[in-house]
Amino acid sequence: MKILLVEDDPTLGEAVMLAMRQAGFAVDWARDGVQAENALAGYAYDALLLDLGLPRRAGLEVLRGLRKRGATLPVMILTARDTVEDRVRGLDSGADDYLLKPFSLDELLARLRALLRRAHGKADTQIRMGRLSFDSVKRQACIGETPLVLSARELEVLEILLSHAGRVTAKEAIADRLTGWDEGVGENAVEVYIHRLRRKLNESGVSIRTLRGLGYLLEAVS
Amino acid sequence: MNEEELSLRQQLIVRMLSMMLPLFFLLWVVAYFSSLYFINAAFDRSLARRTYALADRVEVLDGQVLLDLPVAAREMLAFDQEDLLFHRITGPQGQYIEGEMEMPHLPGKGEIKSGQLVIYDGDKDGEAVRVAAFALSLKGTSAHGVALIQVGETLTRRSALAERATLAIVIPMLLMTLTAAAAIAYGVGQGLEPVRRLRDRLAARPALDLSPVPLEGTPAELRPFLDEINSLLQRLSGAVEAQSRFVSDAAHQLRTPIAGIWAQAEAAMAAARHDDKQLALQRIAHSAQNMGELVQKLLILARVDAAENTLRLVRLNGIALAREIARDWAPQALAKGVEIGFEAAGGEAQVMGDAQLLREMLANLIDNALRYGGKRITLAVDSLGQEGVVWSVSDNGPGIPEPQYAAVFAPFHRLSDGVDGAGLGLTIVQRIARLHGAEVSLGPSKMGSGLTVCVKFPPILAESQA
Repeated sequence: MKILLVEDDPTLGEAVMLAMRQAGFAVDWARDGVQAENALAGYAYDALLLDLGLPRRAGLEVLRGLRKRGATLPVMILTARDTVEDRVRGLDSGADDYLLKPFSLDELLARLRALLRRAHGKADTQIRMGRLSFDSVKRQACIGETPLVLSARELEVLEILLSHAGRVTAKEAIADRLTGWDEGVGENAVEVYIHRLRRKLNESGVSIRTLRGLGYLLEAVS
Repeated sequence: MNEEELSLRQQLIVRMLSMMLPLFFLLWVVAYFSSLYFINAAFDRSLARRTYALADRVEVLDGQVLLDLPVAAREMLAFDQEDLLFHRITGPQGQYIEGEMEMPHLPGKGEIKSGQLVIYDGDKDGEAVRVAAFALSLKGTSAHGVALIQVGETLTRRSALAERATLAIVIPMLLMTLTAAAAIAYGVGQGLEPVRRLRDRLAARPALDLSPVPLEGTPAELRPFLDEINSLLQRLSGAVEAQSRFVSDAAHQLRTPIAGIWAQAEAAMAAARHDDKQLALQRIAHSAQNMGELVQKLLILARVDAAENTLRLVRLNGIALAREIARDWAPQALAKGVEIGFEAAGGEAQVMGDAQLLREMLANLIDNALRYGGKRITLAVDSLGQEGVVWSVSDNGPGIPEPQYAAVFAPFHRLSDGVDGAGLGLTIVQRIARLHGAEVSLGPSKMGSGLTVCVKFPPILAESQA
């Protein structure tokens, strides 16, 4: 994986480059817009980390030029400008993600990996959490190696919770999803399915937390 | 030209002339017709006299009506300086005796009583004329009935006199109007002299002189205007002072973490042991993170201030918005072992607001509760119907003693030094609330211990419901 980093601040640029090298990426570092364009013309990078306020040529200009030439590599903007209009302009110009300065290097690396995964079309069919795993193609959940016996509706509830992992799933959202199965599933029915699912996930190292008035959150039990 | 663009002087003159001109034309018409009336009266009298004089010369001889008129008198009857004079005399059976062949007909039925004089308007050879008709009784003579004597004249002199009389009235009036306009123009110029002096004085001020404008030497009419300017200057100077105090506070607040980073970096470079180096580096990362948060909040404050002029409030679903933010924050809170709950009471809770600013406000309230509160946070939305809507964020932490409630809204105020935080959270909350006409209040939490921060939105007014 070779990444082009475009950043004019030497301290930040150096830190980002070191962190990425340690994480196993090959990195080229361009310090202004013109260097960036030359580098992009000379090599097919896997991803671009782009600062916006650059000397000689603005970051958005570099980005627009890149997209005009039909390049599809994932681009993450690193910037200190954080108004909604700035974000919209960045994403409209063809960026895939937008990271605000100051940021933690861990977050930068996590978002970069997610970008690369998406770009390579490897949407993981396997979702794992605790000892629980779920195959979204076979529609089969397992605890460890043991297949979990779930009703179709329980499976549906588990899938929506897993797809929202790390976020709160609203009760209405689950009810909406189940309405295709039963005519008008009430929110009480959702509670019943959650209750059953909770019992079956007992040994999985995953639990469903109820957040009063908000919904449910799937979390790994340490 | 637009009326607002006219100067005071132009406005006064335009208004005066627009009132005077119709009056002027009315006067013209009235003057013409009233002079004509009096001139007609005078000329009609002389016309009547001439008719009687002519009647005097009528004689009857053997039942025949005759006119005995010397040549000189006949000429006098035919000519005047400007007007054409003419006459006709007809006998009892209407037979022509003397004068013009054609005469304007008598008004009405064309009959006239014996001894009566009638004066009427008519038309002769296409020209307007005035005619006097006298029915002379022939009783006591050898003839019977009446002889009709008609004397007429054209109207040239009458109209000429009426026109001259009209001009004699209208021209002085016109002169008077123009003089008044000139006097107004001059007077306004003189009257506005103090305004010009005031302008010069204001123009000469340095940009940051926010002291009140002295009232001496200004006319009474300008006092209320100057009082408003002075009150604006006073508010402005308060705002400028607060702003510069804020900038200086902010600079101090930034200086502290920079000093920390610097010192820790030097300590790390000097440290011989690997563990000491790691510790110093951790502290550097920590300080930098705090500084990042502080700068972020300063930027939000700046943005809130800027929003004041461009704010557009729209109707928002207060429950949905608050719940969405609670959901966003729940995972982060759980990671710190804090549970966020949500309650809604009283049904629909619509508020007029800017969604982005309100999100920022709630985020700051939750962030505060996470920093200083306990293990449980409850976000509640209560609809009070006609009374508005209340958003509240409660925690079960240590709370704040009541005497300190007022102080925590001040920028950079922090209750304890033990916890990170810029001390700007409640300042941001209050500024955003104020932009929405909402009130922020603190109180003891309903959860036993801890703090509740309430934001009370005003009810939506009927006219903004469209």
